Amino acid sequence: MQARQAQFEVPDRGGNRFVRHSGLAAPYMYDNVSTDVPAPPAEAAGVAHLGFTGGDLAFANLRWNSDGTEKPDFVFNQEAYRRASIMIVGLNYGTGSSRSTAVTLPLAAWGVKAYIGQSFGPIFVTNALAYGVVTVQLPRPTVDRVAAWVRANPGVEMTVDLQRLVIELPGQQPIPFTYNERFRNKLLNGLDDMEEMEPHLAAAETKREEDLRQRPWVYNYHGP
Amino acid sequence: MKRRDFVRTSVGAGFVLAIPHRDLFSRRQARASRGTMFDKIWDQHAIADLGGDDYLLQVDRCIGGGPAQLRRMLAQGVEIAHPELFFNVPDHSVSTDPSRYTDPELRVIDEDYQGADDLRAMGFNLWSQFDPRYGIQHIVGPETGLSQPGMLLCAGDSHTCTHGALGLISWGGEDTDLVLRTGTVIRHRPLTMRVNVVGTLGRGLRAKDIILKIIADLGTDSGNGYAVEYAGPVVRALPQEGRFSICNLAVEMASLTGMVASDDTTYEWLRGREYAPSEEYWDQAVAQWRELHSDDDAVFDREETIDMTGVEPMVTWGINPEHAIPITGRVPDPDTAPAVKRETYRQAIAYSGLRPGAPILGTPVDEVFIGSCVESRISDLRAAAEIVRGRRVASNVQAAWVVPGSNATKRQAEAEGLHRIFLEAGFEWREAGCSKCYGPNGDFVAPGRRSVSNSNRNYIGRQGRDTKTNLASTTTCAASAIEGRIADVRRYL
Repeated sequence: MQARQAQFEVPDRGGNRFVRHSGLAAPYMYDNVSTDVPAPPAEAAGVAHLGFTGGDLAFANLRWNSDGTEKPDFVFNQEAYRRASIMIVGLNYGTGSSRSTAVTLPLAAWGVKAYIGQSFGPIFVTNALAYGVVTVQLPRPTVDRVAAWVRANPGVEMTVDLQRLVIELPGQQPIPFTYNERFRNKLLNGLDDMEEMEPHLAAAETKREEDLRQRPWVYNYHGP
Repeated sequence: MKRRDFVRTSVGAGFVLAIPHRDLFSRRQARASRGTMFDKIWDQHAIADLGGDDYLLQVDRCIGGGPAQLRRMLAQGVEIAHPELFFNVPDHSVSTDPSRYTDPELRVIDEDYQGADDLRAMGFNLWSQFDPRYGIQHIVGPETGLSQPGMLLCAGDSHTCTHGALGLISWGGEDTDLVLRTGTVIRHRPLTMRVNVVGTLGRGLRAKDIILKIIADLGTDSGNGYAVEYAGPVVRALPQEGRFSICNLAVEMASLTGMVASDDTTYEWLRGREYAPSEEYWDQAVAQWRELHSDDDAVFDREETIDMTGVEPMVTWGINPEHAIPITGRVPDPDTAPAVKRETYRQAIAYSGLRPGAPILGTPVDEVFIGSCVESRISDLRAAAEIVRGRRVASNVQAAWVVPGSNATKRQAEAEGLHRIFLEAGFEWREAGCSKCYGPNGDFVAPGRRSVSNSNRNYIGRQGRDTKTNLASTTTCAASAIEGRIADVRRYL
């Protein structure tokens, strides 16, 4: 049985910072990859009997044979990508289930702090935000170009810079990207949702009082 | 200073030049109400515009707050203002094994729910497997009347979009801790899309076939960034339970939510349910709900039309829901697929073990699963029973399960004798819950097997290790169990 790898630390949900990250990248250029794939439940992944937990469950279906040996064709099992901490992905990556383990398992396994892709499942984006992980969206030709560069430059690190809104590939023009301004602000400053909500909670209270009068049936089932 | 306040007070006051440059460049037309059902309900729930189309919104219902979560928060001194807005069921973790009420291990799996009388006394709705209201959260929310038209409902689970079939906004993926603390959520206002379903629904077609056809045509990513309203004469003619099936798979086209406008079908279905508006308020509630439809001149960011005329029962061959083809169709060939699809098609062919160009009809199946939040309501079980009545599950099928969506549905089905039809045919008649759609409750498709399932996800490993899932309607699943192969349900009508 293959030795299981050391795992990276996963922070608590919410209020996590991301400013800039440099690392190797791994291309996983399939479309409509659901969160089931990076984050299978242990039993479904067929590795529960091996005692695998945490990051070892990441992509378990594609990554491990049922005896715990590695499947050689899975991207992170290839020497060039074994230490990658950025994933290059296709269309609608992280669609499907809302499980936040789709973010935290690859984070634990390889320290994946950044995704660059054509588009992302909306729930995946929110989960990534909560754990200080960025989801950089670029037009498909640009994503393909980044993936091609990664394949042609094994062992060369790239940088995702959220402060300056660029991806830096050594020897290339920086690639600019846009980011939801609120998300960017939260990531750069490590803000959690509560800090955004708090200034408005008095208004929320007032609205609720009014609503109790307008739609009593929403609240009244324990007796008017 | 809050930026939004600043912008508002500057309009017409001559201070606009003081807005930072970046904002000037990035500003665009803010998304605003243009008369859609989604816009109307969203605007009613908006507490604060946070800029950049992000809003703080009032939550009317939240599926969240399990006993452990509530006890942790209460111990932290969190005050929860409206416990009656929350409900929760341990649907994902409780076994559906027929022996669960007697097996010493299974009966205590949700003992935290069983021992939560103190939390229930505070107003939280917490239903253990022993509660008559227990079941899959997206079945029992509507079934008990907790989900109602016009609401904003959110939860952790991604299939929360199901509730939108009552004419409300619902989504999953929410951090329910925050909803418990504040009764609010922050969300980016999505674009709006309307999918008009027209034409004539062929014999043997169900709501599940309609939504598989929609996703096959538009794509698994097509709803990304949108809130989708399903409309048109075919949707309007569907019974309420079929509308839930359609909205259930809205998240499988990556949209924030799926909705169907409420109408008399909805009100008739809802009236008298335990938590539905009491008779005292019923007329007032319905009058409000009737306003919540898209205006004739409503503007959507995107409109699509799906013509169901001539469409056959649908079944998936691959690894995401857009890989759906007509039952007499053939497995596509990655080499002749559109270039952008090729890589994923190759992965799908390799995983599914199917041969490009082969007919999907007649593919041998190892297991059959009828259940899940898509189609496990009483009308679904009746339809399946019609197909299997007097027939036998084929001998090559190693597991054929029927899993009712809720304890109430199970009781009703047994009162009608449906369970006997399934049992006599060789199906296993299970207790209510999520079952094989999501395995941590112990229910899996065995490694490597092929299952034709009426659930909503056919992604790699979704139902178990190396398992191949073919999504289809409940009746197609029933017919496939009888034949032991993927079958054309129209032969049984």
